[in-house]
Amino acid sequence: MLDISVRFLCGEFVAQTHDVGSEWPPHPARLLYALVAAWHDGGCNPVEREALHWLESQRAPSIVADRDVPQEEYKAWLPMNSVPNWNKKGGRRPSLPKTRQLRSSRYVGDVPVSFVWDDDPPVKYNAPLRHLCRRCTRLGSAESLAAITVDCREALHGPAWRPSQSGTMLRIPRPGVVLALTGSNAPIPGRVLPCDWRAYRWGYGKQPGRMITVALARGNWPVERAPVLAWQLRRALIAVAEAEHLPLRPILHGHEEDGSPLRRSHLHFCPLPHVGSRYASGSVLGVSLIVPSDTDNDDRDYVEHVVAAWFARGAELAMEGGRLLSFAPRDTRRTLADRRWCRAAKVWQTVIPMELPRHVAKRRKWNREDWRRIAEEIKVACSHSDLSSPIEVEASNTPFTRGSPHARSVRGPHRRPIVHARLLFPDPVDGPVVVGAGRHLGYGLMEPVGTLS
Amino acid sequence: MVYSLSELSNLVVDPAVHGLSITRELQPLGGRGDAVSPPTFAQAQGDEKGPRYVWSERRAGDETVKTCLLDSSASQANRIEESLLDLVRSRKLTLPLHRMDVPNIGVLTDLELPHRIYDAAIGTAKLPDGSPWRRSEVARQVRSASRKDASALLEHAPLILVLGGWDSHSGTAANAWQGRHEKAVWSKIVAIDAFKMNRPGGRLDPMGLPSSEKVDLGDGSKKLVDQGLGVVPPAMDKFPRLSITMRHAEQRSVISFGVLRKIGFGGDEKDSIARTYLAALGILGLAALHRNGGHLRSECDLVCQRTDGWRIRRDDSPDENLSGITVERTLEVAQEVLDRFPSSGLAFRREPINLTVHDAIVAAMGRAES
Repeated sequence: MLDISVRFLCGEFVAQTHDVGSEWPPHPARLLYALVAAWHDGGCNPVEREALHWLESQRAPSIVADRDVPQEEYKAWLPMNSVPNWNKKGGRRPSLPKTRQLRSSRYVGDVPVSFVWDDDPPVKYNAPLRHLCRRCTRLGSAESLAAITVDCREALHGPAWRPSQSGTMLRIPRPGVVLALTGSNAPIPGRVLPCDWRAYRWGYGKQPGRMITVALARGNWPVERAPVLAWQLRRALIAVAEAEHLPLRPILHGHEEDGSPLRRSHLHFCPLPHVGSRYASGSVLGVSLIVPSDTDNDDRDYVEHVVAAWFARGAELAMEGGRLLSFAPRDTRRTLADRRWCRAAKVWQTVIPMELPRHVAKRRKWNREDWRRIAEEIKVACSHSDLSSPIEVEASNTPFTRGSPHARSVRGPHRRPIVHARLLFPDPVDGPVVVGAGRHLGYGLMEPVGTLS
Repeated sequence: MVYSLSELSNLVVDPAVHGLSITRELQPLGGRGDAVSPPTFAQAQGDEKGPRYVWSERRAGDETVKTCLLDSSASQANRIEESLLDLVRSRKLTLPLHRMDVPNIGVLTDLELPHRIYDAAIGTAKLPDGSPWRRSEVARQVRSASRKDASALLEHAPLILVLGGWDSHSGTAANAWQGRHEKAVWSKIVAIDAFKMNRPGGRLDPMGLPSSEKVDLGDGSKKLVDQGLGVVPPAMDKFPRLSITMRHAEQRSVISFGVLRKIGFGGDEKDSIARTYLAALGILGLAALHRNGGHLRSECDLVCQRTDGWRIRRDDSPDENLSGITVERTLEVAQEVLDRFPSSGLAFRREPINLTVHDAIVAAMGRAES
């Protein structure tokens, strides 16, 4: 992952966004503008320009920065070059506005702000990016003297600002920005430089994974046997990959070369049941293959290729008891829509019970102490899924939503106890959310509860 | 690493070195916990009446503390200029100055004017021969200086390249080039973990005059208190005076070599020497500020208790300390660099340019006094 870190030498970030006011966190587009200015200062090197084109074409980066930083503000008279007065000769001079202008700064100290992109740059762009960053002396106003460095990192853990479906709107680069800033001699109208806007949300959650969803076109399958369906689909895709003479990658089967469980996240096979509504049937309507957000493009393409090959071979699963299930590409049913499972929310509840990371007491009926331990285990499970620690945990054998199965009625390859859970997070979390030991087979699939407010 | 000309030259040319910084912990002259007076700003904030301080918050470890601005970056830049001017007056430092003889005030230099050489007072001033300064060769050179070739500013106003400047009154179109030079030196003082202290104000009259009695002292019958006489009992709301107490004050000072590396002077050798000189001048300014800058305003004198020293801020490696920075040493280094100007083809004006204030400004001053 490309990591561009900004250390503010003065300990302060001073910048305002037109019509928004004091800016926080620093917008990714502002970094690109600063790098373009550094490119111009450095003599307009063509390789550096290619590196900038590569950077602007990347997806919106995550921003490692505090959620909120107090601001210090005061008002001062400032000549405004963008609001010119016309003098007698027809020329324009900067004018003093009628009111004082707000100047605000945010103290960040010595803690750097990092912009993290998913992909590593091509090797030929490493040196040009480093040179560009070294020539950048500030980010924001002249008071925001900065030291900008380039690095690579393995993964992004911990709290950060991440692209989301809703939240604080930040300016991000888009293809064409570098050309607009460097290629044309025409002045850019107003003071708003070209960019796109993207919602960001601060939190511990990882970036939403990508859902590849297939619909159950023929046959029925009960939600109580959902993990069995997930297991069979996994086996079927592995068989297809072998039949197609494709390499068996860990993203698919979830094991290291020596057969031990893979230490990083891999494909989640999540059956999607019809639950929650008044007419919920509790049947599985489709399966979603959730590709973790930290998966590189190569592995994503591999998964899609295997799924396409499976479809080419009929997309059928032969289940126990002679049942044959046929699948088709996702249709328009609400249960199969991404938004049903990805909407940001503070409260999440299981639709398929989650498997606890460790055993608790083997009793016919758990006592209060056992449920307290279960709640602790659920928090541990959240940390395994890169989620922030929930501030409230409710655990139960009975489901929280209509159509969802009782925990004791679920049959599947789990070896530890399974329970339903309802969690309250301190900040809205983006989905999809799957927690617990058996999450790669759909145990612990959760749905968002309530509105965003 | 010890501060010397060779070390400074190496640091300035190294693209991996972003600059130097220093953080100093200050306490009031009266001791820890004593009250100090922050600067006041005109606009009231929220429901607060009267003069306003600039409050903010900051994270210190796990806690959030309240902070109050004690000296802004603009004020610190002005104090740097004052400190350098003191060195000029004591003949320890040579800087190219513009000097203006202002009636009833004395001599003002461009280091004392708000916008330095771009100040309108200089722009409207006259040379000894009566011709306007803005039509002089020096003014033309200064206006035509750009970041690609800032030789004229180095010769006539090097502090513009160190402390920043904006020729906001030049140019006839918003998009025309105006002299805009970003600062390479920055400094600020903030009170950490600050609390407001209300102080009553009043007036005790030794003659015991009643403040509400109306008396005609030649300007109509007015209350004595409105004419500066009489007793005003001390009260919290009569003359609101605020001060603060704090855990300590933090002064953070920075010089950016990256900013200096963006400025050109007409060739590789010239660039290297000029940038080194500007860096030396900036460090000298900060060293002089730290030595002289304890008195900020009435009831606000600060003393340095602790400092982490000058740190070299590098790319890809831990910060390294740079020792040996004193006013005397930095003066020597600046002079050493300046001595190399002639051989490298760089110009530096040593004689001041004397100016007279525009007649209309003198008349306006006269009207203001009366």
